[in-house]
Amino acid sequence: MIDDKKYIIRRATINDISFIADVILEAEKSGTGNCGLAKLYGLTEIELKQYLVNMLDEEIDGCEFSISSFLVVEYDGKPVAAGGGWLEGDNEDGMASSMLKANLIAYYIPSENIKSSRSRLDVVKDIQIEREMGAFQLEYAYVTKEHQGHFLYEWLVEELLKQAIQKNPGLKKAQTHVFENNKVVVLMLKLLGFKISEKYVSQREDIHQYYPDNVMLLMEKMY
Amino acid sequence: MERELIIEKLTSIFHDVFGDNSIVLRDDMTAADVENWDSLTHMLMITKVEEVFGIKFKLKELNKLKMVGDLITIIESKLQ
Repeated sequence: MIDDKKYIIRRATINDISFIADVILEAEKSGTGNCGLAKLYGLTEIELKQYLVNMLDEEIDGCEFSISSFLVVEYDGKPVAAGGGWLEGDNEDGMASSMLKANLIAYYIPSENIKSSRSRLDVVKDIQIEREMGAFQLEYAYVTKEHQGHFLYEWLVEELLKQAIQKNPGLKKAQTHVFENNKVVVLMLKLLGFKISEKYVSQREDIHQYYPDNVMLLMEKMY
Repeated sequence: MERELIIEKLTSIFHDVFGDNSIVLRDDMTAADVENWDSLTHMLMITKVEEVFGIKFKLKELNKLKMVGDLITIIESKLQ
């Protein structure tokens, strides 16, 4: 029997890297068997996890693969859920998070795998959404199966937003990208005040071989 | 390697990766100036540069790249 009073929320540390890598993998799959990142670069999930661990270990701030972006929910001293968020452009050199992520991938994933992804990039392009500078970005949240149904996703998102506003009182907007078929998350985000701003649709018939859905939603919450 | 030769080889990489043979490199050129230079093609460009010049960038170097001039300077320093 799970006792809800035992949950605590805290910032992720380097000791959580392996768990955060699992969270990224599960969030990428969005409840399906398709891990877009692994498929795009022709990697197994085990290989991808090792590269994610290496990337997170770099402690580069301000992107999806930054350990500092994540909050962790613990139960009985074990991580059971996590979610990430950062203020776009709020890093040492004011770089776009997509470029920081691209540099980490270029540095860690073998060049042969990156080169082989070239023919698959068209699959991604239609559903790739540029992040807005100065907007808070939510990305990669996951609750382990045995702890689902305890409102941990909502808690993580609310806490990430609360801390973002405390740190940046002038914050105007929070954004997140969600596959349209992830209906539970879309509903939870709506209940948390997010609205669908745009829909990005890929017409590639083979997109389902790589990604959970061919429709990516940009959801936003204004302050 | 002479800076001119680096620019010549780099131009060829840009034409190939970004799919535009009319690109003329400038030191102050950024991703915003080149159509198709996004995070996905950026990875391909970095990988191709390392292969063509036989070099390996440090992560710190990649994260300091803001303009084409920065890229040329790093390649130049690695080939000295």
